[in-house]
Amino acid sequence: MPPDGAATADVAGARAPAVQPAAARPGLFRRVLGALDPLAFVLPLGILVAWTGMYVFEVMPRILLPSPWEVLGTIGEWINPDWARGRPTYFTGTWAVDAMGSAYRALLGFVIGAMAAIALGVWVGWSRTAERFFDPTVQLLRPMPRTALLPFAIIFFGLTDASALFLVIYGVFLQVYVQVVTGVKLVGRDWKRAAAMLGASPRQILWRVVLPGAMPYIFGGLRLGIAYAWTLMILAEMFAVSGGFGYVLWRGYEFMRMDIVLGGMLMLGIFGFLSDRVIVLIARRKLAWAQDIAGNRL
Amino acid sequence: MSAFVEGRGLVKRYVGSSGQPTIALNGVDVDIPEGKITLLIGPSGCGKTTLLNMIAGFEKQSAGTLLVKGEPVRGPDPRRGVIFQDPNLFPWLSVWENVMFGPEVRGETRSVAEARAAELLRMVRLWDFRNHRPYQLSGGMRHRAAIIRTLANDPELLLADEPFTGLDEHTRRRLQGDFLSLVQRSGKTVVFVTHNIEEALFLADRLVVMSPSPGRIKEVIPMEMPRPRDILSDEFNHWRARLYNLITPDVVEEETV
Repeated sequence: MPPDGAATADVAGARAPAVQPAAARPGLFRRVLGALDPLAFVLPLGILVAWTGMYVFEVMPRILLPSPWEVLGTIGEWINPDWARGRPTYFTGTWAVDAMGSAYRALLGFVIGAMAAIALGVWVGWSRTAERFFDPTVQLLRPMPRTALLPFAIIFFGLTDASALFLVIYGVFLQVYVQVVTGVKLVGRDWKRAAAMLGASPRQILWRVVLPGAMPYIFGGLRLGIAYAWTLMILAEMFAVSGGFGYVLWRGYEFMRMDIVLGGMLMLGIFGFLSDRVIVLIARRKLAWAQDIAGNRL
Repeated sequence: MSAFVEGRGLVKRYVGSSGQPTIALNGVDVDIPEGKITLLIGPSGCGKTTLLNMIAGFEKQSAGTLLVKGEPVRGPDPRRGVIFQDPNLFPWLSVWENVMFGPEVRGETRSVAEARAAELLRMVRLWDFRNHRPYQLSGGMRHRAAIIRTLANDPELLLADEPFTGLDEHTRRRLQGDFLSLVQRSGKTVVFVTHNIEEALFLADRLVVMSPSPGRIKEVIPMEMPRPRDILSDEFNHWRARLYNLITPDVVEEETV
């Protein structure tokens, strides 16, 4: 710190980085390796062993439960047709297109649905009039299973991406909306009073206090929402879209190719997991304050 | 000349969950003189916080008039700064951002506000912690940050609602000293709520003693004790006994209700 005399220079540096210099960060590879928790691998390994055991002892017919290495091979053929060893099927080499299509439908739908839910949820949580106008309708729609909207979506939008997007947006919206409304309503009165006595207008209170204060709930809603996005995207792909993980998985079932079904499931699991991790990583940064209070890490 | 804050016949009724009305304030007349530190003291349930919240504009009286500088109170106003019992900082902002919150939302000139914020941070020994978030600090530091967040707005009237309750004795004394030096420099009008007799005697230019069930003003006492006040002096002890005898009967009464 400079001595007290250097007041102006100090003020200019008021937004400078933290007082204590951050420790030098190790390389990316070492950080990822260090972040991996061995305990997290125990249960998946156990499931893999159980699966292998069931295959080896033929607990189920092998046509219904293929081995892990068969599924791995199938995924290889899915990714690269050259690995199909001259037995081409409908899915070989389409992995990249399927992945992009599925991710596009799930993530675009998620972003639109979540943004709509945050906008409307903040409004409803903040304004009693908006709540009276919108909330009863939303609560009426909410108990109806989102999947029940598929026939309606197909008739309205045809066998296109739009059907899938509609379904995903709708499902994500309902999931995130409830959390946003709850979060906005539970922002402490004392924070709002503090902001008001400091001179903030209702609009400034909404943006600077209520929205950040509701963030823990909003992030909770986003995590529920992303899982719903993948779920509904798969449903739409099974029936309304000719491509994507859901399409491949369902055709595999129709041809009794359980190796393809399991491969599709695995891909969905990985993609869903990764998209959720991204939200968690953002939440850890944005909710540093809430983690201070809780003395815990997300 | 009329007082800075003028309350006449102030009544506050709450309707409890049982539907039974509670009278928090029962026809209170109060004058807060300009440039003085007025202490509202009394046992819990005497309506001192209710009165403070009404002056702050957080709550509206059920009956009576309340004027600040001759104007009726119509809600919170940055000219009336509040220091809460809980520091109530915005935990997602750094200490610096908390202190700058008021000047920013009011659209004050940045350089002026920053200079004042920096000066205040130095005065309460928080300059080195300006980039920390509130929950990375100790309780006493959070209280100091909350006080200067309110002072950074340079309010005409300072309303403090038991701001040091829950702190250990040593921290509390030190913060009282900090508070006094911050306020005396600026000559602000202060209304300070406490149930702590020693705190009241240490800070007050004027004591307003309140009593509970229903809340009313029992006695108004000017405190002419010279500063700095020594809490171990005979004079202080004399005052302590007087105030103790004034308040204690009400505490007993409340507990037997």
